Amino acid sequence: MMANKKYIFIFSVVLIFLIILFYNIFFSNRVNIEEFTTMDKLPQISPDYTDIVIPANIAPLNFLVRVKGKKYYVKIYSKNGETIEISNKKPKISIPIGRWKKMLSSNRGQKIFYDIYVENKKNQWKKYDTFSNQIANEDIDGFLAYRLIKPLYRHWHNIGIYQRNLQNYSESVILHNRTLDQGCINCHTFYKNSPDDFIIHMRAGPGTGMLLTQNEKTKKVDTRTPLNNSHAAYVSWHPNKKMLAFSINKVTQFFHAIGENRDVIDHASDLFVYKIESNTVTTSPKIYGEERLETYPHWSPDGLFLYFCSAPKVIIEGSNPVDYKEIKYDLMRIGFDPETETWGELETLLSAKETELSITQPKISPDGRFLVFCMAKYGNFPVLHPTSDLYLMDLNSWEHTKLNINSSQSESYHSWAANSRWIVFSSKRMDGLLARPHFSYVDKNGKAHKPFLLPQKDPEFYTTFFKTYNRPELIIDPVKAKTYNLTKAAYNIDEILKAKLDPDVAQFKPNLKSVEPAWKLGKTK
Amino acid sequence: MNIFQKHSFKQFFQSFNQKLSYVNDRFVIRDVVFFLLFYLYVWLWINPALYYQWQQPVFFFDVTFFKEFLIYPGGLLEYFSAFLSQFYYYPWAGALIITLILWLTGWATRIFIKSKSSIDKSRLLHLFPAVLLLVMHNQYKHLLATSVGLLFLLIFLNIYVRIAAHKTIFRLAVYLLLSVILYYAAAGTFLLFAVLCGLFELLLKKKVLPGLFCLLSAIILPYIASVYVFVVSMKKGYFFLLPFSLAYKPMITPYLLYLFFPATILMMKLKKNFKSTGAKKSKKKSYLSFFTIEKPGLKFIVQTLVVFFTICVLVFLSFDRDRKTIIQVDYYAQNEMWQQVLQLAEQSKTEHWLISFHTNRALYHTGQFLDNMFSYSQIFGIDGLLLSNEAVLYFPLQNSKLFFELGYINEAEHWAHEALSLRGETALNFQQLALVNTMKGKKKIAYNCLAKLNQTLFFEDWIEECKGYLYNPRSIVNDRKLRRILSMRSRQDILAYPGIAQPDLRSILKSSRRNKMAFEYLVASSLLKIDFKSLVNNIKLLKNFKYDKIPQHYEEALLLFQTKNKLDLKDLNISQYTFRRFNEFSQLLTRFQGNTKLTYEELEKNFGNTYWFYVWKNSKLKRKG
Repeated sequence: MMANKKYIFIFSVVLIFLIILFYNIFFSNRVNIEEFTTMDKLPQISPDYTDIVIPANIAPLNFLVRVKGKKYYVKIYSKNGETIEISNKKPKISIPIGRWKKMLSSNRGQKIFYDIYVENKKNQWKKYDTFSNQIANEDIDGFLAYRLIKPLYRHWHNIGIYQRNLQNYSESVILHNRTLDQGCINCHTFYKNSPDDFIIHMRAGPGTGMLLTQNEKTKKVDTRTPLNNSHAAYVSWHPNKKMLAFSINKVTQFFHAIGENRDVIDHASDLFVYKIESNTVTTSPKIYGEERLETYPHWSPDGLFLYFCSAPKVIIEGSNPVDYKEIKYDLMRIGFDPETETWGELETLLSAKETELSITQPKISPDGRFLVFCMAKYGNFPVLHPTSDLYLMDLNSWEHTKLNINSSQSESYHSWAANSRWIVFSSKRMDGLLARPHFSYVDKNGKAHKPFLLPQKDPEFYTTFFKTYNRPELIIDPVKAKTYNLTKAAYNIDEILKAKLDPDVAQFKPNLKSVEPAWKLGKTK
Repeated sequence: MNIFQKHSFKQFFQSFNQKLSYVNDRFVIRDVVFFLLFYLYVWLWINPALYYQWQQPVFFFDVTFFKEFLIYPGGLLEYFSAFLSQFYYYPWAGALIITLILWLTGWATRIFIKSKSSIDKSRLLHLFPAVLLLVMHNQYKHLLATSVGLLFLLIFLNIYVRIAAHKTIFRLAVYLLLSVILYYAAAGTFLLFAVLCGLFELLLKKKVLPGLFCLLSAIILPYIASVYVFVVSMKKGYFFLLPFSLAYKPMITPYLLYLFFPATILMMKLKKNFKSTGAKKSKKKSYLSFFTIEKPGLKFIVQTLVVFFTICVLVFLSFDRDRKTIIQVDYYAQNEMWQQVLQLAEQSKTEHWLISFHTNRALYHTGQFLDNMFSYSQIFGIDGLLLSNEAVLYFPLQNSKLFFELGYINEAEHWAHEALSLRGETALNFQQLALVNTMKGKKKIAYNCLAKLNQTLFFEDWIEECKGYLYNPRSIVNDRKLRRILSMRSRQDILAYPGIAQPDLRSILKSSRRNKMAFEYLVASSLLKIDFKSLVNNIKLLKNFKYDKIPQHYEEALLLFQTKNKLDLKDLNISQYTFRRFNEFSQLLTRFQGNTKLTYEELEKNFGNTYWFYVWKNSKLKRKG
């Protein structure tokens, strides 16, 4: 008799527990809003995903409603397909990925709409103005490669180059300095948005050099020759896949007592070309010499021009702040015949004298129509300049305009999608310290639309993530080369490929002596 | 119906009595007393708060933080240890955690020893690993993760030993499962597990193939993990979290600790052999009969006392007093307990540039810098005043604090970020960054730092205070320290270059003319560098800072300069007291001329706290050099 009672008691407890659990899972978040008042204003949401253009293959844009309330209800709907309803007691709105994908793919070229309702303490529901997202007809490249670093001043410790699947939230390591004795890894550069061919530079750790990966095979190249006895920095792949243009830069870093803390200038820089098959380095006196600072090489999509930035060399005496502010770069290009490997004439496309600003980081859309670049008050390190903004030059008319996607903080490193309709760029607009990747749709007329932040599963992710996204590069597919193989190549000192100097330029005088790095690996206790 | 009614009162009483008798077991009581003493020692002498200061353990209640530990072997253990070691913030709680781990290690060792042999009749052997772990804590470098790793290993080893009676195939399957779990959770700690299981199979179970399988797995598993599974170097794949693979070089203790367990298995094997040959056993007994105490009570007391004194000697000899002093000074400075800094610097004989650095800060903050700095050791000269290029790599946060106090907010920000890179995302680093950005008016980033800090424990009050400044920036002036710093902020741009960690005091003073700290540090640096030219040039600045009289050491320096040079002090006077003291100093120097040792002793006794003695000593050292 007692045993039966005991079992009945246990059974009742379990049943009640299951009912509560079932209710919580399926019904507690369901809301039935019969009465509400309209607020006649847009809701404050973070990140700001209101009225943007998005690709159909982007991960759900989870967001936080920045309105105090005890319950939140969001309805996302479109012309075709099912409505997505989300209710939550917390302001975090997480959109189910499967239904989101379905909605986006069936509404390509259309709009999706968001209705946001918030219940206040008095149990009254308030509805905010509907906002929408336009779904573009063109997809964005599926992956984003970037380097994650601390807001670097001088010493580094953990550095990794990662790739993020833009269709969901998965992130994986391409290369991390955990396996490289904490050496520095930087300047990942892909060939035409392809994950199969890319370079990554290394400093310190297993030895400085360039990791050149082609079709999953990696070799380590030392691009230094008697002429360029400093390692390669900024790199651009020639469209024929056989050459890499690169700069060597003598960098000086310093810190201000007022305003933006960090600053960088080049005391000297030159351009070179590395020919992969012959393992040879060459250059031209037109892009090499003591008189000017040449940097940021970028091949035109047809391979007939090398675009770059160039400034007259300013002799900097001591720490006079006036001197370095005089360093302003022009946008230039030089003709190049890939068949005969001969250089053409130099052309100044946009001069700093004209703009009174310094031009850096030119990048041409793969269709060859537009050129996006940065302009800041001075110097060549736009990520450290709050004045740095993005500009677009129409290569048909040679007219340039300031893009309407800029903020009061630094906008810098950018990369085009393979279809020329999307750009990703680094922006410090969120807090002025950490660069975050933002995407913008650039239509056929060169109009860039309101940018949006790389979505994360947790919309509050960026608040407490103290790493900066460096050099965001769009790639079509994930990098297949294995981290282990990259690491192995990095350590393979015996088989390091020492570049030869083109005999035709051997008579040039070396311009840059070996450079001490501006940033140093930290020694921890 | 009462559930106890099933048992009779007699039965209940008997079981209670049994429990009581267990408690009364003298071995258990001895263990309790030992671990209670360990607890008091860790709490009151080692002081886990000093560990917190030195290692800055951090644990964020955040999924992203957790995910970072999942991507490499040993991460889980580090995560768990990070959770535990954050409680070092409170010494009593930290001591409780450390003692608990020592006790569990001893308990797991005891179970292992008991399981297969009776080699430890005195029931003292199991204390050995716990004592060695305690000794390792004496260095202030020990990471909790290595202790927890050892504990996990012992638990896994006991599980494996428990299934010893099962078939080989089952044993190996369980071994593989345990190995994978242990390797993922504790990385290099797995190596010892594999070796112990291998020896267990080979020596105690006499199974060659399973034994070799275990030993081989120690080579193969980390290799597969390093090459195919995780992004880690081969070295880390094999040895991560073993004490001798860490950044510091440990003494012999961890080696003894890790050798103890294979040695125990070897002893078990020998004991087994002795048992099987009775003659040998009796022979052995006769050798030792001289030392044997027959009475069990007396034997217990003697054994306990011997072990107790051995532990005392070990602990005493291995304790790093110098390091404790350095950390204690750093701890007091972090908490702005300046009187305690000075007290400790005065009492201690430990010489370290960090102690000098903080002592000088404390002297400034207590308003006696240029009057009393030579009452304290200035043996490191300028490197004891401002951290050198090498020193800042170890103490970037301390450098940030100095810049902050000097009103050089941007450099304080710079070094707080270097601290973030070099020492990681610790609570103390975020605290400094939040403060710096609050002072700079960078609200967004300051809030983010506070949000990060809010994911830790113990900083709630501080966060609220800082938020108050952010909501109402004018309220900063209500804080005396912050108001002073605000008033001293640089007004002109100064360029600082990497590779020069020490502040350009002259430029700071130029950009903020009322910066008294920069002035005093500038004078102090000239004094330490024995740069009379700079001292003379800066006399004119004294009037900017409303001194009642010329600071004592400045006076001493000027008087010394005046003996050989013409000096225009304008409307300033050197006190009669300083003149008189200088005459006495000169007389003493003349009296003992030729006898350097005697001169040194007499001068140090009578004038050790003067600038003259510092100059005299340095000139002697220079000549010797």
